[in-house]
Amino acid sequence: MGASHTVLKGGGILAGYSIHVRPTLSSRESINARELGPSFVGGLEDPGYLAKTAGFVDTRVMDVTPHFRETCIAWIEAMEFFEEELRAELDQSDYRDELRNKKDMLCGIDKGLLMRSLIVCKKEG
Amino acid sequence: MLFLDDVFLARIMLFSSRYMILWSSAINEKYREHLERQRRRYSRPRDVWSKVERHAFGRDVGLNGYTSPSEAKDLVEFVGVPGPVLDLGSGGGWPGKEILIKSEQRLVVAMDIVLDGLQESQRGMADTGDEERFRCVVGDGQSLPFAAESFGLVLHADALC
Ligand SMILES: C[S@@+](CC[C@H](N)C(=O)[O-])C[C@H]1O[C@@H](n2cnc3c(N)ncnc32)[C@H](O)[C@@H]1O
Repeated sequence: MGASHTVLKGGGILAGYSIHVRPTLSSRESINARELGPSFVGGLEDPGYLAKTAGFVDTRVMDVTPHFRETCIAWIEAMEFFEEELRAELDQSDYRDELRNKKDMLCGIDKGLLMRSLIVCKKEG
Repeated sequence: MLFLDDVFLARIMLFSSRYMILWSSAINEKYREHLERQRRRYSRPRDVWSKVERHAFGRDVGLNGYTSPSEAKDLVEFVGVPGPVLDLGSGGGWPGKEILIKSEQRLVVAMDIVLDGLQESQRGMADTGDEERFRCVVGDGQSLPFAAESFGLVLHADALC
């Protein structure tokens, strides 16, 4: 986020979605959340905190977890609906891993460990 | 297409080249597993994924994450902010392409660590009449190769996580 702050003009906006660990989790829950969450990038920190640390102002963080849950379910249902075709096109482990990642994510949401936020913040100026 | 390993040069060239690749062995090392996974993903046949997306979300946008078309609408609302737009962690160009269509006259830069997705997004832009305003940069979003104060809007769709 620091890098985004630098390249924005004064008055410019950063807007984005982020999947992150629910703040206030115990360290044990936090480890569990990271296991269930997305694997592509390590950091799952609270986006409001990240924005503030990077120097952004007028930060709004909106919890969009209920919609995120629906998106996970839609992915899972569609993957199961097309299972035969997907299995024919993908490596066997690929289909299983993709589906497992999405189910893990759903499990993390339902356990109250993972959430998704829309974050909007501004560079002063 | 330009291959650059010099950030200063990159800053000068960005606005004149449609493609830019900023690469180093350190990036390869740092993101090895991620790169392998994503390259595999983009080499898959699109047909069946296209059906999956249509079934799930009613549209095939080349989604590589959880930013559904209805969520992307909330990001598109910011297109009024003046200045070029940076779509960071753009994957296959989502939601950058949507922003491009809605933001007349504005330059949209899609950046990702994975070349394959950006190539897919360029193919999707071909012949839309908007491709001249669409630039792709391959590199690490943690050290952005742009001059300070270049953009009016920076978008992330799941790239922060
Ligand atoms: C979950 S995908 C989302 C892709 C796309 N925005 C979408 O919604 O379909 C996250 C993207 O961020 C990219 N990414 C992750 N870390 C990055 C980094 N340090 N620099 C550039 N891109 C990065 C990944 O390669 C991946 O394409």
